[in-house]
Amino acid sequence: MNVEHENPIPPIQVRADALTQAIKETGLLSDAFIQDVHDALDQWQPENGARVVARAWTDPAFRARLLEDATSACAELGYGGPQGEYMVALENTPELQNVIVCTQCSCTAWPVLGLPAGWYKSFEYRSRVVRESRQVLKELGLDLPLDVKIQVWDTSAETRYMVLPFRPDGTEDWTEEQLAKIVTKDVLVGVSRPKVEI
Amino acid sequence: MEGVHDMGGMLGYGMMPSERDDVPFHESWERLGYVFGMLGTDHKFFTIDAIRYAIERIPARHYITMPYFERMITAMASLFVEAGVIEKQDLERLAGGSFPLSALPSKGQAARREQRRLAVGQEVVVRYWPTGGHSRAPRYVQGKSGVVVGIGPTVPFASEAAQSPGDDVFLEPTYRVRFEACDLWPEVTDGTTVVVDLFQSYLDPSGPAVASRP
Repeated sequence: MNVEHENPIPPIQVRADALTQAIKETGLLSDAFIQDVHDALDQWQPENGARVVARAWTDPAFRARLLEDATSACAELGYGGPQGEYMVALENTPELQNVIVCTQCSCTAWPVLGLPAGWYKSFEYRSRVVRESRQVLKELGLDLPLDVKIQVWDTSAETRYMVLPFRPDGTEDWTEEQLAKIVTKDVLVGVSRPKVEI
Repeated sequence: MEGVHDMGGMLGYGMMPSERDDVPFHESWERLGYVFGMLGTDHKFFTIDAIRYAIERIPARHYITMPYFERMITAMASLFVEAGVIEKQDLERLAGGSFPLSALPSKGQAARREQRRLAVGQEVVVRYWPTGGHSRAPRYVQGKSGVVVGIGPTVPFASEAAQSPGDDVFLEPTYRVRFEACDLWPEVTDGTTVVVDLFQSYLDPSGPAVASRP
């Protein structure tokens, strides 16, 4: 490939439109299909994972089922589908922090974590979190003491992970709905711990 | 593929951004990557593994400079061209300029079909298995020793699935293999461990045999 001899490359929005147009001209792609995909994308939200965690915190039998088979436990709450076929919940403790990454691309448990955020797909995160996990977590705002062990999970085949954080002190009388609110996307990936505002 | 995408453990990528958000999309065209992906997989033009491979095949100079969704659109365009659904000149005509595509695929590894199943607790070594085809064995664990800590699903072997949407793709067990980070990078001294999901073909047992439950 010779850089000097290439024609100018139009902006990616223009190329994306050109690809849409080219496929539409074949008759394969309809506006209804595009809308269906958009609707599906909108269903995959980290609030789903937050509800799973809140249920696990309040229902020990559900928690056991979640740790045994996260795919079927999440299905009990109505969550599943693409990139959620083989889900596993990783249990944090005060002494253990599980952290999820996909070093080679961007694999994520869509149904419960939502589609990945930009930082999760960044070269900085993908290259560094397996090797400099403690420093990367610190840069993301989670400064763990050295007695907390870090276990990083590289999503390199078909298993999709979610982190099950431990329930923080001070939430003993909270409702499931209140509990779900402190479980963010960052918490479900493992780069943050649930925060209780006092 | 031993490519630029396989960046786990590489140095020099810099600090995490000090400000960030957790929304997946910032511009409307970005969702189209998923539209094309679902269209192509629904019609069996290609598989999800093929999508990953097409992103990996983007020449490194473009891979590094293109944002995520630009890589995704580039890969989708490449796959629809390779499937014969559209032609590159149509894309360039409609875009009014050059439309960079992924480099052409090369043949990947076939699964080692004679492999025996592994059990939790088995020590394993990850094969050094360089390839221009698709692979899901990150470079940073190749040649390294770890322990099977979990059994994953049995799924189409990634490099075969990247080349064929057909039913002839070998189904293979995957394993969750734990590595001590200090065995991967000697400067890590804080006890961190890394668990990597690996297909059976990537693994050779080492150490005493641990019996697999039937």
